[in-house]
Amino acid sequence: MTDTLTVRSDVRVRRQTLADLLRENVIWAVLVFVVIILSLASDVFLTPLNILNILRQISILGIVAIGMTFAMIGGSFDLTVGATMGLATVVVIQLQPVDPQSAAVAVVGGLLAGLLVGVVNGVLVGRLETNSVVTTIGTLYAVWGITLIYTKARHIWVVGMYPPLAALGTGRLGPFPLPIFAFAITAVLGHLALTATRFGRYLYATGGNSASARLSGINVGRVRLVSYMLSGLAAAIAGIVIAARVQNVDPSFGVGFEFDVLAAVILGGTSLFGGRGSVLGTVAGVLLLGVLGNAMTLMGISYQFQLMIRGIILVAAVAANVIVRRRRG
Amino acid sequence: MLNRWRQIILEQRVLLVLLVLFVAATLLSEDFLTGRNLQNVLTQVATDGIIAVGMTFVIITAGVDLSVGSVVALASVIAVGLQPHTGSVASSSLALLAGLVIGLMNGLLVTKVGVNPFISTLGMLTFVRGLALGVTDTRPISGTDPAFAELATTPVLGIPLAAVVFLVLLLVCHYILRSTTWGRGFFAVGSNLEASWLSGLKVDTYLLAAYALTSFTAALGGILLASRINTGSPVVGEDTPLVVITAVLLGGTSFTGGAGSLVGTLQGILVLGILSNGMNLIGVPDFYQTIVRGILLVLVMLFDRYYVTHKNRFRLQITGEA
Repeated sequence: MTDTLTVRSDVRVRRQTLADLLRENVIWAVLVFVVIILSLASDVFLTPLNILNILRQISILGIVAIGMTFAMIGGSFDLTVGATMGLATVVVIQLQPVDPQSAAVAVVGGLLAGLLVGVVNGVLVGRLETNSVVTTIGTLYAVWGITLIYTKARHIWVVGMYPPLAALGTGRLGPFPLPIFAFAITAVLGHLALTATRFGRYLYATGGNSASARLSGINVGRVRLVSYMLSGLAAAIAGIVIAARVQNVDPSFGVGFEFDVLAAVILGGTSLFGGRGSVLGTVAGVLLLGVLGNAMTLMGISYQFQLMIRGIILVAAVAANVIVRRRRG
Repeated sequence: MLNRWRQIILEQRVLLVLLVLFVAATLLSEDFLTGRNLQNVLTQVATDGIIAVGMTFVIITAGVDLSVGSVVALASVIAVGLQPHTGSVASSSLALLAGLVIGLMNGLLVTKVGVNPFISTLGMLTFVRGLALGVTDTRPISGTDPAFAELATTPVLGIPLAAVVFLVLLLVCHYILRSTTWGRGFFAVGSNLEASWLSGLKVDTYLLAAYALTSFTAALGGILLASRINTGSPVVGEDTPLVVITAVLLGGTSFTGGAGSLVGTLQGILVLGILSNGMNLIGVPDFYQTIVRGILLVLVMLFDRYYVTHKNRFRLQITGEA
């Protein structure tokens, strides 16, 4: 993306050509291509109902993936997100939101749980500089354990959820299911935070080269801490939407989801080593996964073969990226 | 003198944790220190332990293999599913072969294509899981060969076969890693890939070997697990990569490559095994083990960080990075 160019627009020496634009938005090009193919191949695919269906299904993945994009751009992994989402869902349902008061408490409780996980990760990885992969695997276990203890490892549910809260998951605005709006708002806010704030630029600098970022006076630890808090917050928002939608939850819900999220973020072009990535790319990655999943379901491909195809897509996408970059440089 | 003690304590920290756990478990439960229970512990840790041996190699080369859990499932499904058609020996051999092939594919993706191991093995995790679910139509298969069902627990000199396989594999690999030129190469590749290549090491061969070995050990673990439960299940092994990686890192192998040992891995796997067994014996619910395992992992990372900071204070001041 244009992250390095926006810092000082006067350093830009060459005008962007169409080829540049295409190269930097490969994932969107692929997405458009796939959508065209699928529209031609299936009568059902490009119908408003099906498109809305896809958008609703991917909104959870999308919200969490946008959060993880922040951590990844800052140069750290957040593998806790699935467990965090599960914890937030469990907190909301366990607090039995049946009236306005309890609903407010439940939502705030869910958000706080996500923020808290983010703070713990952020302090460990950002401030104390532990390895992010292993640390967030550790906190994944810890958060999952807390969820299990909190629910006594039992399936929990809420009967008669406060209707406005339930609407967040099940309601519609016109033809659009509300979770889509949650996804869209998260995406817009995330995009703005990355591209139009000082924090966003600090985050790219931190992920790109943390030593030089530190020498330029950026508080690298704090930037990473904030990125983890945003990641935890996004996971919590997704958890609340899920709770509102299904109103019952299995205590192991969310564990394993982090890998789906990671796949979407990486497909979207965010670097594993930090410093590169964008919300727009992540949204495209999420859409691509959603569209392909939907198409495979429409074609009647079983879950197990969808898994195999997903594995191939992930590796192929990254391999193609590596090969293209190698040829260029 | 005080410094020397400190040094010893720091270096043998996992062994100390292991001893503390062992003593605590003995004191808290009468059933812990019995021959039968210790055999149990050994059988329980054998599957993950075998895989941890392979994983140690991969992590020493600064890589990681997330696909091991799926390979466990695929191997168990092949070993049990083909029993009626080919007999157990042939089906188990095919399972091992499948593991080897997957490992080579992982290795080729990492070396020839240049895909980050985290991603290539994550893709392989999804792919192989789908394959295992696909060939079984998502249903577990019951074993039909009684000899196969007893394989893992057959006592050899009083020790269950699965544990014997684990310990022998560990000793052989420990020797290779520590005392052969070839074994030292893994450390070289892990600590500085480019320098190793420039000094004439066949870097790609080392990486291929590490990934092939890991998937092979995962298949071996899968077969022994299938034997123990006499079932080939496409859904087993979901948390295998996390448990195995925890054990390896607990044992002091560095996630950034170039340092580690199989003795450490043995200690790590025993810590996890005794922790889980001890907590089961005193009646702590399973889910507390999840939380303890997580906190343990975080503490290890913090400790390593602190320890590294002391060792490399000078370098830290220069680069601001570890």
